[in-house]
Amino acid sequence: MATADSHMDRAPQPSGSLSVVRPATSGENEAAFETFIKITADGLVTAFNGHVDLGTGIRTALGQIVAEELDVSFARVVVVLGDTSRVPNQGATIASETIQITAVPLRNAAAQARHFLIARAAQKLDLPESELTVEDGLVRGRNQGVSYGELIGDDAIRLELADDVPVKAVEAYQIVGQSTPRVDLPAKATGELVYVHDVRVPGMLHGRVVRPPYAGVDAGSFVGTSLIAVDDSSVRDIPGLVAVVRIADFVGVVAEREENAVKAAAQLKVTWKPTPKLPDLKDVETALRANPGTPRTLLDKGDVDSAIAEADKRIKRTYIWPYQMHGSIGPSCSVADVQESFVRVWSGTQNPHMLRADLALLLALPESQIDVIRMEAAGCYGRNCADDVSADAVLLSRAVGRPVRVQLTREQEHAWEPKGTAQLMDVNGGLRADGSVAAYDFATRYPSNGAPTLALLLTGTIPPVPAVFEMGDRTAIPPYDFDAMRIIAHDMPPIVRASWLRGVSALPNTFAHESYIDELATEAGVDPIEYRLRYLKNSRATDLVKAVAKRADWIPRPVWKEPEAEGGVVRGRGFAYALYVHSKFPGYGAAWSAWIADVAVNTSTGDVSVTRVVAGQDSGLMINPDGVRHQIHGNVIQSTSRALMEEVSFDRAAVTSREWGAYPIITFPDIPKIDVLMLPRQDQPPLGVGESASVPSAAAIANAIFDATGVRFRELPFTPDRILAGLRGDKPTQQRALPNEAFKPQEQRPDTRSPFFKRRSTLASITAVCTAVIGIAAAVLPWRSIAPIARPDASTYSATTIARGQQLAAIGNCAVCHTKANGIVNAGGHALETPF
Amino acid sequence: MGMTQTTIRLTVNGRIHDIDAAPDTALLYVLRNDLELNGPKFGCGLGECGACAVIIDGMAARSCVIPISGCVQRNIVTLEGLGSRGNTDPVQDAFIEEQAAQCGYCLNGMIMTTKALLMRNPRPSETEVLEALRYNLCRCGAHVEILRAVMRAAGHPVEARN
Repeated sequence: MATADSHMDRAPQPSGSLSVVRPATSGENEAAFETFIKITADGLVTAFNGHVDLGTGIRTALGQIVAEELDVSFARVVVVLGDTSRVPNQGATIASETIQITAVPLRNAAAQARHFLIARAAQKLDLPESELTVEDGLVRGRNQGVSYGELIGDDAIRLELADDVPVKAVEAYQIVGQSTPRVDLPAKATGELVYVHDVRVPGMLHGRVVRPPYAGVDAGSFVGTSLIAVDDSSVRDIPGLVAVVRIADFVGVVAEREENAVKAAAQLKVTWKPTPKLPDLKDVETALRANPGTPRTLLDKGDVDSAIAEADKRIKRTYIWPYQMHGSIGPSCSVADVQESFVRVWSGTQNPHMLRADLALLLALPESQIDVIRMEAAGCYGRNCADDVSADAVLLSRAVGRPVRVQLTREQEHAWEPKGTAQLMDVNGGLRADGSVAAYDFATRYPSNGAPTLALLLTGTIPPVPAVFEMGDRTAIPPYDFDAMRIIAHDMPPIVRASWLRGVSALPNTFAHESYIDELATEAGVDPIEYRLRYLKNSRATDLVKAVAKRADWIPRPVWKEPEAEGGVVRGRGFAYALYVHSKFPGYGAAWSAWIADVAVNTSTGDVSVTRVVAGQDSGLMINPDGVRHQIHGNVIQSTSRALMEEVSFDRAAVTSREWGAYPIITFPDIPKIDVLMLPRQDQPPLGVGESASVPSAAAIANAIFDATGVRFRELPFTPDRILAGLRGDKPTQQRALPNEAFKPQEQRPDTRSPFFKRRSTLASITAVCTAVIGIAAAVLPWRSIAPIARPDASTYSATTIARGQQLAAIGNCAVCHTKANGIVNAGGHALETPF
Repeated sequence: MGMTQTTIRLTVNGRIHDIDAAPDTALLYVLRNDLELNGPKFGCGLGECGACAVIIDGMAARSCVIPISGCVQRNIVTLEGLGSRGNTDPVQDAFIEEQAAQCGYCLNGMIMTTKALLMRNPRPSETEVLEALRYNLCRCGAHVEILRAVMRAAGHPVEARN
């Protein structure tokens, strides 16, 4: 299109393009086609995929796949992800399946385009196809050449996606399989506009929501019906306040400036009905047993009951997984512009098309009027399947008729994110006299994780009924070929709001499988790896297990020996293996993964340090090997954090973990050394790598703790309290009085060689951060003092943790400076070194 | 109450800006909304996670808990002020070279905290780096790559990837 300043003397660019499309799947979609590949006459390639990049680098990997199949340089390919008006509807970005599943039609489309263009080139150059070669979109033969762009010219070519296109042989790959730097990082490292949080549109206002008191609960008749009153006069003094919005239990404010929206939300006086009592989630086992479930038999092989009855040694175990958080570092954010004729939403959702359907329902508009533009978000690990904030933003924008940006507070993110659900696994079975496995009777209880978009519930658009889904069955069948096996998933409604969390039910199920077989091996007097290999039949699995054992210099240990303690620290190592089987049962496998974890356990404090992890993985073809390695690192670190320290706390009404102090995650000094072993399987189809390396984590660590201490821990997280209780032989869930010996003279410096030198107690860390913050705030008066943080309930922390905090605060000598002469200990009054 | 709008003069990335906002407004909101800078991110609003880090008078500071009234006559540097694409700071280069991010939401804080560390201690040991980054949270688990990036930026030899 000519513009005023265009150079009229330049030859017009050819305007043609080649697209590979399929008929639209959604009947309501205005566009009759969904496009996978578009090549324009300028030689630029645009690839469209319905999935989104959750920070794992799939944008880069998809670009590699397209460039490879089209024979163009990687730099020529632009990948468009997730925009509902532009990309195919390929469902939610879940289950690590983008490369394994969703990339398949994209790859076929690229191959199809290439075949078409080669055929056209052969015609144009009058040469047989066999004599043509392609390099970066330039087709050559016998000293002639023609580019893809020239072959397209002014034609508008549309090919319907075929699924029987010959694709390149793996041996010919030049781009796929080569480590390629992520295309998104330069922009992220320099502060360019990348994230949904960075979107600014003309006339944009700022909104904040005020959530009901039943934080983190989304089922029950009180949901959407608990608001009594909103006192508009309570925020009358807020400058630039534009609106207070209420629709049933949905409450929000809109202001010209963000800080004023924040103030208004905090200040708004809202009256709610009392919130009904939750089951006591401090005792997850009882709560899950009491939650009504429907048993579903996934496998019933051999005569399990007789085999158990006849077993030489019967072994019955229960494993408990707590509620955990996704813990996105960036609270959810969205910008919405709701106008009469169109709705535009900038979103960090994981499932743009499903979100659009939800927004259509919420606004009572056809989907075709809504455009969801997918921007990058903070890593979400399943959380953004329920991108609540986009719905919040459309409601506020509709109320004021202008674009509104909404970001949740940290407290709202922690309290309302749909949690990774708790899970309960029972295993009954035993050994025959020869040490072989007699039977494996496994039952898993997994409260469902539907997590409808919150605003639909709060506004009463959909009823707050607890839906039951079949999602506890991921990797519920162990990878071992036992003669008699019965596997049952109890499908049950949610207790609190839950959604997918990396590894889903496979992670807890594998914790049970891999802990139990470790116990069997010990009982049988067989090395735990050798014992597993007796029952592991798949050669890729056994190759991986053996390779990992070799890499870690695993020394077979048929009989457990008590390790020698050094300075109160015992060390051990543990093994676990998993093939992550996911998606609708029976599902299919992602990458194979095996861990050998080394731990050090301080028997007097109960601290567990994971010092080293050898993580082996068979990923099939790795599109971007460095990207796969990065995923393995990330999974190892995140799942180590989950195993060691993560557990959502609740009172009898709501979630009580509402900031990072109450839900600590692993930090730099506690990161294990990670040795990654990636099996070369470039001849095999690519497998999902986004979650697999998390799956063996908890069992490998638990087995290592057993190796170090001789005690089995069957409930996460492996906190100092739980470890100490286990070492003492207590029932682990009870909180105990502090042992007096926890107080030791302060002069003792920690041994710098000890793995705990780097570790401070959680409480001490929180105290340090809070102290720093208060220090800054105090030094820059007039600051309205720091936003009030509710003093955490003392019962949130065990006596042991509090005692350790006191001890460490004492070691830190805080009191020396922070006590005035004849004054109160730690009274303050001494500023920290800051720029102020 | 601090509600009154006043004009406050801030020096950000070497430029002077007159800001009409209440004096108790957190610096982060002004950087993001008035100056349209994307580098500093809102993560917690409590100074716990580090996503909002900027450098003030040579020290890493958490802009989500610092009021603009405390920033007058201070030299504020954001990620954008370190360098832009094509004119990057060596710390940004090291993070890109080591692919030291997954989602990248924490990246601003990691880079700014590293920059401040290297300004006061140009060759920190690994232990000093771990300590300096202790209060910067990363949820994706990019710690291995971030540590490599910091060591590279500090001029330490970096081993082959594993």
